[in-house]
Amino acid sequence: MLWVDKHRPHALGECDAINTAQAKHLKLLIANGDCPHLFFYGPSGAGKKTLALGVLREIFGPGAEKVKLENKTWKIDQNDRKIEVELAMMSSNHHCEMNPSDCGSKDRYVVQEVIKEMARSRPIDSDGCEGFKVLVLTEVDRLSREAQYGLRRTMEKYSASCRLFLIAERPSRVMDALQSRCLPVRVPGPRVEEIENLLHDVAKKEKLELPPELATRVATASGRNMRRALLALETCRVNSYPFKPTQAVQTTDWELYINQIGAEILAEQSPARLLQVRGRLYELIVNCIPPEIILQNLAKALMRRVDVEVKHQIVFWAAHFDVRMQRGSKAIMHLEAFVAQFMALYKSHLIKAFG
Amino acid sequence: MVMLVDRYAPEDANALTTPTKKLEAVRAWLERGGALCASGPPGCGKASAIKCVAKEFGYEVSEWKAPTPTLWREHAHARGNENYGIEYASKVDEFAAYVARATKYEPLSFLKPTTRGGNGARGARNGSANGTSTAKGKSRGVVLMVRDIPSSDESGRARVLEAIRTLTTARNGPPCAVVLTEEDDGGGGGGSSSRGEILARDVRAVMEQAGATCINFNATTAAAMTKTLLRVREAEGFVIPDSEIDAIVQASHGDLRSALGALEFWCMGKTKPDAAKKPAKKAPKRKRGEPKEAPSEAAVARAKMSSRDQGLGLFHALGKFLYNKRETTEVMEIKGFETMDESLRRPPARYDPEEVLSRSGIGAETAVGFLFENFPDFIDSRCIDWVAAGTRYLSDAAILARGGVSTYGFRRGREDVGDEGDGAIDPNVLGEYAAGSVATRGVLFSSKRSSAGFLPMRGPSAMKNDRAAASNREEVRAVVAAAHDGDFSVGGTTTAAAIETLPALRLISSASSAGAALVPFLPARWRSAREDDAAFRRRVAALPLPAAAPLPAALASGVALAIDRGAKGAHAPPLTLDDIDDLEDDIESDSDP
Amino acid sequence: MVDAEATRPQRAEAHAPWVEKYRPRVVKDVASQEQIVGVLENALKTGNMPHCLFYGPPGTGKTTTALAIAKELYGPELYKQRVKELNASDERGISVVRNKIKTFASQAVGAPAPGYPSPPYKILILDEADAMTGDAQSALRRMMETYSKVTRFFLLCNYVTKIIDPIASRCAKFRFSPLAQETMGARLKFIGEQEGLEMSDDVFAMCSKHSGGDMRKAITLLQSAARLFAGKISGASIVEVAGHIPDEKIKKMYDLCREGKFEEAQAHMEDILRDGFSGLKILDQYSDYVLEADCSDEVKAEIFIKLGEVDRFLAQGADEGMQLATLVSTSIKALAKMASAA
Repeated sequence: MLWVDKHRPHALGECDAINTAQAKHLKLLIANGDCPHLFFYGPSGAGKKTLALGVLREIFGPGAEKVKLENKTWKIDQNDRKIEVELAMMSSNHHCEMNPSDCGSKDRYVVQEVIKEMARSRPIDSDGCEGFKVLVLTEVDRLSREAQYGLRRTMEKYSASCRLFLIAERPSRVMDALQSRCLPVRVPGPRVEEIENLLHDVAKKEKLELPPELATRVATASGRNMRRALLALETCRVNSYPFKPTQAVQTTDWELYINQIGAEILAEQSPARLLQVRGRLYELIVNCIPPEIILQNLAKALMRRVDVEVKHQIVFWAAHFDVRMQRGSKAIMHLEAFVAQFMALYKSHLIKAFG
Repeated sequence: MVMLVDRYAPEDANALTTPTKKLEAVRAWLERGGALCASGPPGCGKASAIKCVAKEFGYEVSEWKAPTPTLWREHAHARGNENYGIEYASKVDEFAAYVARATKYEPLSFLKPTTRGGNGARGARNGSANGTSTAKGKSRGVVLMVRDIPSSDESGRARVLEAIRTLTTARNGPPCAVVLTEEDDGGGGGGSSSRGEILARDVRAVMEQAGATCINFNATTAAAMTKTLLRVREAEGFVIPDSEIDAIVQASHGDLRSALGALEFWCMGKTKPDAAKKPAKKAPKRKRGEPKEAPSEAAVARAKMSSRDQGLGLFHALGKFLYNKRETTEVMEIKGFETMDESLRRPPARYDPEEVLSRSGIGAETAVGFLFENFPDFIDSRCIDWVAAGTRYLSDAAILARGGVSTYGFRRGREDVGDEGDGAIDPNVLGEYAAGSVATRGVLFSSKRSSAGFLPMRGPSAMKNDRAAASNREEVRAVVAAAHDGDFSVGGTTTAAAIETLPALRLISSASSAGAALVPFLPARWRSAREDDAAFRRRVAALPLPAAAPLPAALASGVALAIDRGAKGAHAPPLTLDDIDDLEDDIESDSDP
Repeated sequence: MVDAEATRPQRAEAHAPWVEKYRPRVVKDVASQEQIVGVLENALKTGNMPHCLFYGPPGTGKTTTALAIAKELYGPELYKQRVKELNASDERGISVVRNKIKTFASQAVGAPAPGYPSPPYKILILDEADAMTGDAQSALRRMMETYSKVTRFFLLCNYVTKIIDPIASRCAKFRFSPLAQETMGARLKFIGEQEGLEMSDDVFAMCSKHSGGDMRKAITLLQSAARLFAGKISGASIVEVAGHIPDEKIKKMYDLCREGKFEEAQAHMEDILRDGFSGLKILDQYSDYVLEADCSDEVKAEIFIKLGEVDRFLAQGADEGMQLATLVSTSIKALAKMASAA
């Protein structure tokens, strides 16, 4: 098992390296065995899901960890049309977890159906009372607005029989009406020091000698992302042990690839090079790197080696085409347009500077 | 009343608009005998040329014309009640029968009884449509002319082609000509070409193979057409200014027949009162070199209205944008230009981009896709700023074409738009039009002057890549779900899995065998950008059933491989469509003065 | 079936939203809208209500007032059959107007309830009426005419301009304004005492500040804080629950921009995002800060134009990091211009 899973805290009480305050508060919150709807938000690799699962375990005990995976097909009657939606979901007796944004524009049907169905099968708890089930929805920020409206409607209607745990990276993409019906739990990305401590903890548990310099470098490179830090540390471990303080912390292949693209763009600005870059952007898209992440990383790669004046322009165009990407369907066009803008402005900048 | 087209059908070679070179080729064929395959756009005088030349040589022209079809329904109806004696004969049957007769019988005897197919003998001779081609002098024989090739389903097509082959190879038969009209119905792009066009292409191939002479006619030149129209105007005594004639010529796209039709339509009731009797006065000849009076806009619009709407192939249309031919007028001569910033000045475009687009029948999204794919190729390697401007316009157009519907998570727009589900898009007519305009004009504007040389065009590869990406995303999802089941979490979300966990797993598993042992599985059904559906399915089918372990091919050797591929020009391979030939032709005829 | 379950008494009474629990039951308890309350009390005495249109920002007591009127008119028993409330949680397309609303509006009224005015009409409360489509509103208008004898319509909305004129002209209009800090504080204090909370004095000011005069938001904040911090609340806990970014972080962002430190400012901005704060929140607080900052009006104008743009793009789902980066970039340039001019 990978460290990132092996050393993942299972109960709220085990959250002793990071998110300790959140864990403590949540524990108090559910002291009487019930809880309101919760909205966990924060960057990737901050531990939102871990906290949510911890709350589940706290409420339902280890039973919440006995999950099974199923690929469920929802049949929905929508004004004399029948719609079928397939979605993978994990469920235990007490909860189920899914990512409705995976079914694209049909997400709105899923959120309503699943809540209705959960309400129909309410578990009976130990006191003979009807209990509630928890629905964990991930990537709520990727839900369409219609789905968010639908969610809001259903969560009010069935609040007796189910609780919602919503998880999102970007709270600004979740509508206010939804947020205001939940208790918000902000999960900040762990600070570099916290990550260092965590790495040392893990090293100790694995009985490894971890030089502080390496821990610092791994932590810094992770960008306040716990998952990345742990994966990187394990990569270092596989690459060479005993650790060397100066050991390389490997970057992911696609990030290297983007840096490479950046270097190529800086080396030559011509239509031919643009076409070459296009091929590479396609390669990244095909490998499931989201276009906005490509754009962001590419902009950063370019910014690393240019004057401040050009940086301002890069920032401007990146934001410009980012908006376009959100609105259009073919990300590649906007990505390439960004590259072309940069090439043009960089070239004219060079000409101005060096004649 | 005889229509102008028939009344002024050329009597002899002098009246033809066909270039002498092509006429010579026709003559050469007739002297040699055998089969001829004449192809060209409509109204360029293919048939007329053959008729005139045949007349010169003293041949009569016998034309096979498809009989008035007995519809299958009619036939069934007749049969159903009682047998009225309407025999059902398909066009294909009749054509085959005709060819059989033509090649079997002696030429002379053939002429006599019937030139028409199965359903009974009709008027003894049916030389041709306009009835003028019957030779008055000595008759050396007959020339067979086939203008209307029956189009049919697969089996019928084979028979037709076989019949054509027989016709071509028949040594003792009369000279015969097959006239093929090339229709540009936006074809070439695959599904859009009509069945008739495919047939025409096949027929040509068959005849070429069987040793027939092939002559390719070009569209009537503007000069020749103007001449003819002026001649007709004089003879008919029409009152119509030169400028309007020019407009008709412009709008006719080299189709003389339609131009004459337009002229007739246009001049209805505008005849000089006594013109029919008196020989018309000679119109003052325009002096050579005298500046042509530009046709008024209204005239052009009117002429367009009455002219035929000629289709344009996808590649023709794209070529017009990408090669960006412009008028040679000095920019400064145009009024108001002196106040314009120099960087914004362009000579007038030769085409109206919206018109080209609508004639080609390409949707805005397709056009944007193709232009995006090919645009940078056409720009001088020093002019990256033009490319930048062009891509900016294309980026705008791509959004207009979609009506602003977002694909990622947070869709906007009216709440009820999504009622159709399935990401249905509000049909946005204006957006579509604007998108086409912005894309084409943007590209024209940004390429400033036309580039020379022929470049192969690529089809858009965005779709292909998107499909591959979608397939891979499915795979990531499957892995995430499966990983959960195995008490092993591949990162919270699909995105996190794709950009954080999976790359790390690849690194770990490729570092050492110990690392590989740590990694329980990686996506197996990973698809690369250049793999098409079929190849991908084959490969996946060949995978061992428990979809585990093997590294994704595309990333197995990581960055190095990908970069290597990039260096070889990772974008889509050039399309090898016949239409590229057409494009070349188009460029040739464009560069003719 | 399912609906019946939803309305079944709940075990988790402890988690009933305080907004509902402490909703004023009579019109005169509605906080801070004195004028409106006065007019309505008079109308209540006569028992003759016109059609009403309540408008104003969220959390100012519109729904509360409407519900209180209904309660006072009919009492708890008759209320169930005489009053229907449709809020944004219900589907409200034109078909709903045609069916549900029509069915309710056309019913004749029964016997009055003893001890209550029980006027001979029913009340239909339509919350968030501005979210209805124009077609639905037109249909509603016809219904208002047809059934005005047996039904009164109470329309509640944020933006009166989104209600079509024919409807607006048929209603008595009441404008609700945001609550003043003292009014809000008094109510919060009352709730806190009822719930047995330990509260420090700055709690009310903080609630008021972070809710912007929105009572519902303020109570929700208080309740969230009470849950998360187990009844011991300080101003800081409200700040945390509100997702408020520590002011010094925003100040630092501005200062770095002012010093023209591009990289540091960008890194700092990203750090705030990494802390999990919403990009919109950064925008909000940054705009508040810039408004008060010591720079020229031109600079403020330039920054605010960008703020508006970024706000819109974020609402459209654009990437927070990249959009905020342009805000930082614009701020640096604008501030640098000012510095060089000085």
